[in-house]
Amino acid sequence: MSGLAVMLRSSVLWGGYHVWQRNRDAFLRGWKVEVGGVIIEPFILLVAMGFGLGAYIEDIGDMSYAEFLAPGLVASYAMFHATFDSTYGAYLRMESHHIYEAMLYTPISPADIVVGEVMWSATRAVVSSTAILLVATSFGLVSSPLAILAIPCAYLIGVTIAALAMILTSTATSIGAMNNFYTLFVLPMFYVSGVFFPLDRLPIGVQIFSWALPLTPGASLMRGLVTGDTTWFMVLWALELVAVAAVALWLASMLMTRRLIK
Amino acid sequence: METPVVISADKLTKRYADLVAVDEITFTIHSGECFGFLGPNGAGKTSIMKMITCVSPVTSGELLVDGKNVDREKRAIKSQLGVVSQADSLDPDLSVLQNLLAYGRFYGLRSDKARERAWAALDMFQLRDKAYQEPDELSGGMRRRLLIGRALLHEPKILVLDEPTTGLDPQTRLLVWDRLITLRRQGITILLTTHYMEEAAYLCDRLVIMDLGRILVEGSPDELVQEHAAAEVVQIRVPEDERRELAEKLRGKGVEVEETGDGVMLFGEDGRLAQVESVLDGMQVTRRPGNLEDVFLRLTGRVLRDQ
Repeated sequence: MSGLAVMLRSSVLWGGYHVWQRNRDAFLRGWKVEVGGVIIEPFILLVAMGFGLGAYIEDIGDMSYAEFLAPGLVASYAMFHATFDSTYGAYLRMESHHIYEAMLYTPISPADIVVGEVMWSATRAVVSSTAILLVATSFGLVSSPLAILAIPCAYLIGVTIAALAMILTSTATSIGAMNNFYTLFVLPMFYVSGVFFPLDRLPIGVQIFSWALPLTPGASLMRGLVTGDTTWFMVLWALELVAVAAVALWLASMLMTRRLIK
Repeated sequence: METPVVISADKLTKRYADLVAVDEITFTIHSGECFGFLGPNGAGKTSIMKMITCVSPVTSGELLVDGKNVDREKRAIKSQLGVVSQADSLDPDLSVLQNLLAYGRFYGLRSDKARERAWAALDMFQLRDKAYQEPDELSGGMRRRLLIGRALLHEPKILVLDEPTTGLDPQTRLLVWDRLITLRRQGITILLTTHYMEEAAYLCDRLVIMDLGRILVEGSPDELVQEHAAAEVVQIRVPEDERRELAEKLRGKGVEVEETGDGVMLFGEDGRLAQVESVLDGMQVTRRPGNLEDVFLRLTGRVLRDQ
């Protein structure tokens, strides 16, 4: 084997990929149960908010409200669908089904497990984002060929959110702790990250807080790509997500190692 | 001929916050051996297994597996080990076959190789017709067979089994024993912990009996029985109110006596028990040769451990 191949085989990407494959196999056995929710819920939200509520709302810049909302929903559903497997799913695999324990007896390490779970959660994010993007396209809400980049963007959002979720999962002492991730983190972000309205209407303190949360740069990045209304800030937003993801992955791996190797 | 050492521990110690689970123990295990760790609950058996399998760091001392240090070369060591832990860790989200394939990938097996070995493992443990079922549809015995088969997919050098037959029906236990003996014949090194003395006597080439983190004795089952158990054991069933009197009488004759839950037990070397035959006339008596269980109970006592 070449030096690169040896390096790859001993890296977390290699082990993580095998963990990802395990999750993919499990998903493909049961995905039909979930497919309805993945498409129907964002569809209803887009119709109700975008066209229903949107009819009473003036255009934002040169965009209709539905055009403004759609990319924000693509980003938000990337976030939602990245959290299921990295919170409840991961916790069940770890504590109830002893799957992490079984993995640890193989060459897989705790860091491999974290990376694999995050890679898989991001994959789920891409699946749901793509579904909404297709719905939005069919409504004529997608106006730029750059929208194809919404897919890697959804992956990046998924990695960032899932890595943060794995910090919680690796320290949680009960499955109830997972609820906090939704009530204290995911749902508030959904409402203050510029998904439903431009942030410049908010007090400056809230704006600063909002930009420190990952969904705000995620939604803004997504909007730039889907509408084609690009700015150099998009590079900065992407870098913010990468930085948060990197720190969270490192921290979650460390905490998971501490939890599993005693 | 001296066979190579595959596992060696030198003053190996495992300490948890308020407990010394393994206390400076030293042992070596040779290639191709079946080596047993016996002991009551809390003896430190599982802690040793966890250190050998690199999922629990060594507190102090040295532990080498296949010549490699367990704290430094985890991945390399783990790729040579097959492990069956006490937890039932089958994946409920995957079919029986997929459980094996996923495990094969964790060991870096190519998918065609993994598939071939998975079917061989299913055959070996008589599970071929269960391949597409859910693990939850299997009986306890089938699940354990699958767990052992899963640990063998990558053809490990060393198989580590933590209480492999606890809770199994006699038929499954015989099948597992049979497979383990076949594997040992093929040259694989086997480590096991067990509570069943009969199992240890049947399977192990060598074993240690542990208590409270220390090794009490080490040797082959025959050696240990010869050294530490009486040649003959006589169990006498007597009602409780007569027990003490009988025990005293027998002690007076110079044989080793122990009062048990339903009577009195005598331990004697050849010929020594002949002196008490007259006392035993007309009583309900069972005679048997000394065995590993006698060794175990003599060394670790009859008192319950987890109270």
